[in-house]
Amino acid sequence: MAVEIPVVEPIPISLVSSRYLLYDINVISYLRRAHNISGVLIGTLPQTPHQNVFLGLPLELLPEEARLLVEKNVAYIVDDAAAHDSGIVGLSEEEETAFRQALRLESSKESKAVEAVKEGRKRISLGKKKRASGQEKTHTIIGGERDEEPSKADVFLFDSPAAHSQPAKPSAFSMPEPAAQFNIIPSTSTPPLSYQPPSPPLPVPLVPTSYSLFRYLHSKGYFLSPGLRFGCQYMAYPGDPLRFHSHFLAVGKDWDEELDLLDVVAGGRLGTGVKKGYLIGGEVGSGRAKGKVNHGELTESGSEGDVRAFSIEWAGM
Amino acid sequence: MADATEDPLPSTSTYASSSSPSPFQSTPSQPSSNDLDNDPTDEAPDFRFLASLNTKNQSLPRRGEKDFEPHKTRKQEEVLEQSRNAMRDALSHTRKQHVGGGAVGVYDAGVAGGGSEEVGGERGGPGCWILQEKGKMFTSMGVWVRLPREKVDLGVGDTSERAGEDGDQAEDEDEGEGEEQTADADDAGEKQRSLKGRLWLLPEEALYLLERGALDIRYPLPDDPLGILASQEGLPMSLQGAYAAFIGRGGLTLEMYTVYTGLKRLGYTVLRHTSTHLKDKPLHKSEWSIGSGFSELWRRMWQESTQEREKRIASGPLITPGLYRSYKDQYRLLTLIPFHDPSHPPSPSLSTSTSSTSTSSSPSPPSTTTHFARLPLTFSVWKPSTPYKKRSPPPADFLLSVIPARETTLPSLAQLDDLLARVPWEPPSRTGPVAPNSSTTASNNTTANGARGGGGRGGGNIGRGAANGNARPMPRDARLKHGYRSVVLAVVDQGVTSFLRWGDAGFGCERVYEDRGFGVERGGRKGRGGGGGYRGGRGGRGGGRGRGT
Repeated sequence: MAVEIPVVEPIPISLVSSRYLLYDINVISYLRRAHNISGVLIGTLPQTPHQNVFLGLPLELLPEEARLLVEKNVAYIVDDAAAHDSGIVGLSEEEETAFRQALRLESSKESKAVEAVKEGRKRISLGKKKRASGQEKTHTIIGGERDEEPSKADVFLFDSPAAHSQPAKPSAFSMPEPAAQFNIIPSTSTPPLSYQPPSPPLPVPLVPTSYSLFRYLHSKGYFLSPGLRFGCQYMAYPGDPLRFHSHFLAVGKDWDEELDLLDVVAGGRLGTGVKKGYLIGGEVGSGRAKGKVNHGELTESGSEGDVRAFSIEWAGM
Repeated sequence: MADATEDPLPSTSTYASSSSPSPFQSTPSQPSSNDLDNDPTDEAPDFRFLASLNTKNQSLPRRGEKDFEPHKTRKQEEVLEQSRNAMRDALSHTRKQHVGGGAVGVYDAGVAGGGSEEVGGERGGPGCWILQEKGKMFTSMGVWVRLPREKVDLGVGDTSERAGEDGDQAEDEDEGEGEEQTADADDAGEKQRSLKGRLWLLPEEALYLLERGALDIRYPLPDDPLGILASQEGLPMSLQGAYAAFIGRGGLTLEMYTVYTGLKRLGYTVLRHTSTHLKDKPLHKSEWSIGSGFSELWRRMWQESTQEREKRIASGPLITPGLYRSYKDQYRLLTLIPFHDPSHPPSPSLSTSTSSTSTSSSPSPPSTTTHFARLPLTFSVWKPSTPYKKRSPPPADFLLSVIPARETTLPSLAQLDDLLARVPWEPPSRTGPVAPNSSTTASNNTTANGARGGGGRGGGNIGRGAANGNARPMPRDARLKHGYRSVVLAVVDQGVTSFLRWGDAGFGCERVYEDRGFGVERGGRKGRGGGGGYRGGRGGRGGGRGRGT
């Protein structure tokens, strides 16, 4: 179904209300594969909108992730609100017609896909019917019941959620009109918009001081995700979070920062309790220059220093 | 928590009943607590299991067994590849609507949008006019805005009044206004309606509906004030375009939206908070709000004037000579230590330590002299089981404050106090159901974690833990947890949400000597009653301490 479309670097990252978002599934898969960036899906999956386990587009990137990608020249930041405000209004005639053409194409593709699936199901159910009537002629009623099921599933699986909440019209299915059966709601705005790296580039994402630890762990091949679920700053996965459990609950500290021993004990206990290591790390010598540690401060500096990390295991009492 | 091996799920309160089959409270396939390898709040879900999430089987799929670390075997790589492809397929789903089959709206950048103040929207924020209403979701979303007759112009929503039409209600047929601007509308009734008024969606509502594929938003066209042409010919707004158009404008932050959509997905009704959502719930305790027996006791207790009391405490004797019928009266005289009484509005003295003038008990706009950032009451939330009517919304089930984790530190006492002063007074019930509408029972957790972590845990747990169906008195620990007023903080860290419930607990209000083994009034067996009371008192204290920590 999904075809891998090659992604051209650098990738535009949408900046919306000082958050970093991605909408293109190709880009998302690519970043995951090539750059160990997983981000957090925050949108509703239109197929199954009533649950919070599987979420859909868009993907929210941590500022750290966005910063890392920008520093590696993999991506650049675009002010998406401004791009849309100026882009949609100032759309030229050709661009608009091209966009409409693309939409029509998509629409007919979707219609065809729906038709194909419907055909397939019909064939399956017909086959079942045949088998049922051939093998057990006396149980035709059961066979008929069986045939009911796929068609019901048909309505549910391939209707848009809007049609879910209202009684689906069977007439829509009975008339195969491949022309404009669907209104498409595209995921991305490209087309009609096309992005170019802005010049001068937008300022790099502001990151907390724990960014050095983030970058360090990322450079060691870890996937990192926000750690709110375990009360830490980052969760560090040894591979793609789709497949692996995280190993560490990471907390970035300044080198000279005073730690509360209770925090260390609490983190160690928590980490050990969920079979993870509690990890504290920081850049050697960081925070020393300022003399005083300013916790939670966002910085623009991205000095590539030596980072050390310590894992803490709660050993008992 | 005494031990690491303790059940990580807060399944504590014996009071929490497992009745009320709310559709979102079912925790299907929740792994046992020992099964830490499959902790539902942990980690990313495996999209391969999305397929098992179909309409027949409402249960959420298990997230699949994961590996500890990569070992470069082909099998592992294959499985990972499958997962990635499944995720890719799931996310590649194209949002589409049958032509004429779904709701259609027209975007309005909102120079003078219809989002009036009563909906909590900021003036001038963006939103979306609904031109084609389809589906049930409009019963709790959007505001009916009447368009001025003399000037049928979309830009002028200013003088709009709220007609209070329910979205699903049949419109009374009105005579046509005759002012037709476009000939494209195929339905005459539709035209009349769109001339009378429109449904106006706030940014979060429009974005949420578009995101679930239930609403097709079109960009407006020039020379089309009614948007009828745009609803047919306008360029469709993409998901990306919708985020760009709605987030960060009209008072909607991405954190707010994350919380909003997370709750909406689970079936909650969520609206921006306004004071009208409190309905008749008082902000403060009224005299009769506690059961009559207790209020009687209270009054008798407070009959001693404060001066008398001060004098008694200062110079003694603590127990003035007299005739005492029970130990209760004596114990009451022994309450010397002042305590925080939640039945009084959160005292301004706490906040005046940081703020000089603000009287935190009044929901006045933040005075300029406050030294702390006021936490906003962001949303009013109704449980899925609470029938919601636009025309007369029931009092909100909980109030919610959205807090971005990266920008906010732990709320200070003054901030919390200020926040709690704005939420209604809801004492824990001693004898039975608190409110008549508390038909459902939510488990009574102080913290309910995991917005994304499983429908069940995220879904049902942020309740105020109202009341059980039968009139069993609430145990003390449940009462303490319930508190006298409470607010839910939704902490959002880059797309991940945790819900915390803050209750104003009244430890001082729990009269241990009244509840436990001091029932000397009954038998008149004074001597034995005293002994029993001593033991009971100890047990009570012990229990309280154990749970309190």
